Amino acid sequence: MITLQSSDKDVFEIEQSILIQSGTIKNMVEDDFTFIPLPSVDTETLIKIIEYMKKHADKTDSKEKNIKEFDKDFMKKTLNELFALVFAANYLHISSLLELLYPSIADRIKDKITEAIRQIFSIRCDFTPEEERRIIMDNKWAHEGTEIEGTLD
Amino acid sequence: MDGNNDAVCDDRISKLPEPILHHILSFLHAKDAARMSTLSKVWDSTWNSLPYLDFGDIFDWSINLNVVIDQTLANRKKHKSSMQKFSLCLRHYAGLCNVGNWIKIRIACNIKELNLRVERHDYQGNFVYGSLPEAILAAKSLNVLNLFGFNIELPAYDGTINLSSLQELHLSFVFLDEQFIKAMCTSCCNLEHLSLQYFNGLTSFQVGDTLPKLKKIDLVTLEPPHSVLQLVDIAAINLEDLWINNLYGSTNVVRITACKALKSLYLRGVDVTSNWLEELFYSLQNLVKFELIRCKNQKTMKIASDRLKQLRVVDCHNLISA
Repeated sequence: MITLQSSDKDVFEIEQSILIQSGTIKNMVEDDFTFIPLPSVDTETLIKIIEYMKKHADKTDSKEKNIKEFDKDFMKKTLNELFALVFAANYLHISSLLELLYPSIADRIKDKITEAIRQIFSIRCDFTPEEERRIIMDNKWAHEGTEIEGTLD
Repeated sequence: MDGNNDAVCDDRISKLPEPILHHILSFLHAKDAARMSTLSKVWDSTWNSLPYLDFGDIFDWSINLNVVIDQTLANRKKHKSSMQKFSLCLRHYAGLCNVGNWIKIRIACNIKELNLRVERHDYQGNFVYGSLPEAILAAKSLNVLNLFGFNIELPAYDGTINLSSLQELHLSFVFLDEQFIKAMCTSCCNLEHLSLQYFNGLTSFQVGDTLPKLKKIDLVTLEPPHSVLQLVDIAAINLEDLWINNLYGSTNVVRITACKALKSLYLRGVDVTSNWLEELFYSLQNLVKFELIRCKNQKTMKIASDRLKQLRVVDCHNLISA
């Protein structure tokens, strides 16, 4: 059994066989660590990561459909939760989870106009008005058929 | 912020490492990804260094495709970004003449995956094969190549191809001949998966033992009057999965007993005999899955193997006992 500690100092005891899906944890286990602090992963996110790894630990053929359903539901989260998962999965090197997260986040961007994306993701514009105009011209073809931003801030 | 569940309080997405942003953008069409460049400096840089470009299905763009792609390439050259994956689907043939140039630039950037699709019809509505830019067959950095709707011819100057890093080759609705298959067997020493679907021109498919990594082959033929595959002769010693699907018509001669590692075999529209089956099970000691569909000749068929885990026999008329 391996003990994981979240940034909120909560501890979780999990079987090694489940945790080796994380490349990072696998390396530490191979170096004989049994207590692994994770200062960049909070409790809420760690619980979800453990849930994911537990489900994916048993990859027999019969469970495949089950796992696909689980993955679909697992991605139904708020953007904040998805970002937390991406940071954690990246740090922990869980590539199968990352492969799920990328298209899920891309779906929230797809076909939206720029202004909507800016609002949803709270992206602040750090261009000067001239820079912004130049960038829009550089990629003019991408903006045709959609509204081009008029506001500059 | 409004009560929308999806809104975030601070700009967390821009803080993700660039490789992750690239992976996210790789699931978007180039148009959506390009629009991200106006959001902030981070996103402008992410778009310009994006190694994956998917121009998707282009049939409703009123803009000049040449200008778009020229511009995108020029940007990448300016930023010295490497190009990993490029996908383009052209419903109308007209834009294809520039593809040759673009391909050359791609290759200079060591592209890893290329997906090109053309769909062209003549005035009578018949499908017409597009002419394949020769540069593609010399892209030695390619790992995955997906071509749809092309006439695949060997380069005129020396008749050889150089796809030595190719791991997967998927050809659909293409016209090709035995020369190409031969050249492929000589050059593509790293090939793992070969898929030929709805092809025309080829009447015999022969692969020797020059492809040691080849694990999977899919063959799906067109209906007559297109060419009928009469002979299949495969001696790939590490082949594990073979799928031969004649939707119409049938293949008479199939020689695969040299594929000792074969685990899964699907044959549709292949006229097998009892003797052939006996030899098959005797030679292929690793076969665990066998499916035989629409085999017309046999009245009796003996299928005996203690290793076989899955057997499916469908639509074999005249079959009296098995």
